[in-house]
Amino acid sequence: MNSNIDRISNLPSSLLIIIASFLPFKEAARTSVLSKQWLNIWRDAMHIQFNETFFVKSDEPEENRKVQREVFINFARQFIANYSQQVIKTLGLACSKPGDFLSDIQNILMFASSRDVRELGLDFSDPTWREQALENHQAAFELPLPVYEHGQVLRSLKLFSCSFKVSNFSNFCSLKTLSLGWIKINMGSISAILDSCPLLENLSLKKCWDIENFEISKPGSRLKSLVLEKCDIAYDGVLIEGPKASVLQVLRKRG
Amino acid sequence: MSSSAENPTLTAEITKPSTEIATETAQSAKKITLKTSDDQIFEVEESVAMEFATVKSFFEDAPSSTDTVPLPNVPAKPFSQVIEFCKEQIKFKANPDETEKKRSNSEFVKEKTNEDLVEMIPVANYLEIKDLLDVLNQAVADRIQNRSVEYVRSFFGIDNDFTSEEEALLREEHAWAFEDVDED
Repeated sequence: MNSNIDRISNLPSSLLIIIASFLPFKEAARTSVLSKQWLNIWRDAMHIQFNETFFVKSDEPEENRKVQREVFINFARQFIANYSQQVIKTLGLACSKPGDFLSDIQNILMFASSRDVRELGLDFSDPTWREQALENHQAAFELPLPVYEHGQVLRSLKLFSCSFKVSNFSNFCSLKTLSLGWIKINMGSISAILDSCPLLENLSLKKCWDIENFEISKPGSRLKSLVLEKCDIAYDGVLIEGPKASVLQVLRKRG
Repeated sequence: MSSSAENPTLTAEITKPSTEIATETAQSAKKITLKTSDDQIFEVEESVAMEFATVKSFFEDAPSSTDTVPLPNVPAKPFSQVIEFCKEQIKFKANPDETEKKRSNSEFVKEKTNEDLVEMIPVANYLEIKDLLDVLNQAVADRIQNRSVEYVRSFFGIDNDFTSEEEALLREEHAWAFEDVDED
């Protein structure tokens, strides 16, 4: 047996793609310099993170950041154009100026939805927004239809500064984890979401406003964890009832 | 670690003390005989062998077969470790306990060398043991995370076939991915 030869390079590329898919996206990208066989493996990894902060330096003037943002979107554009796998597991997209790249963002979401993405994270909040500040910000982007249409396979969804139609949440019938942030949402909508997503186990609300009194009393709810973070609600008005209420956690992180 | 001489499930041909095979083997359990690529013979309990989807479908096609099943892509060393994993796994089939299963899985990979892990991946893939493949890939990912390119190359035993100019160009092209990395 010859065990000191290049062991893993004997593996088919399909296995290397699986290995790369267990790495965070940035780390997977670094495998491109390992050897020629690895050069393009990461381009088919199944956990994809398009994160503006990889490219845009927050301490530079907006003029530079604008150019860096162009480079970032161009990178994402190339990436999805060359992607060859049929299914992806995770897609994360963080972009603070979605209005400047509407069609690109639509394309990225179309790309993810058509590949049955399981975990989708969209963050359109701006790093310059201050979490402690009282001011609220209009949602910077609206969740497009294809995401609902392919929503049956979605297990985890994060929407930050991204508006959505509660009436379409019934498409997310497999959803287990939902995280909403930087959004105006009332208690009626939260209740409607819980009704639409019977498998929901984890709900987190960060910097949401217009909730007023938070009240959940769903006998059939599977909700296990609930996180309310820096939301504009009266914490004295939090009421949760249900069979799993004993495992509910309300974290009140305040400034 | 028990030595293989005391080990009822392996034939005498296996001399490496690399496996920790459970001792509660029932005498009556049906055994399946498997032959590795390096011509080692393994006798494995049927319930364990059925964890290998590849072997399972072999017996679905020929249910009454008593032939030795050849495993042409599977060397003995990683295979004995794969058996060790599957023996643990089937305990959780009768008695599902996710927390205990996770603990058992992390215990399993903790004891393995980098080489062990890397060698088991193609075996788990060939035998189609999905749980093991996930466990191995996660363990590999954990071990190479935040490590330098040079470290990862030696981890996998990869020969760098780029010229230094080519590598420099690639690092420049993917500069975003190399920021904030502690080169060790």
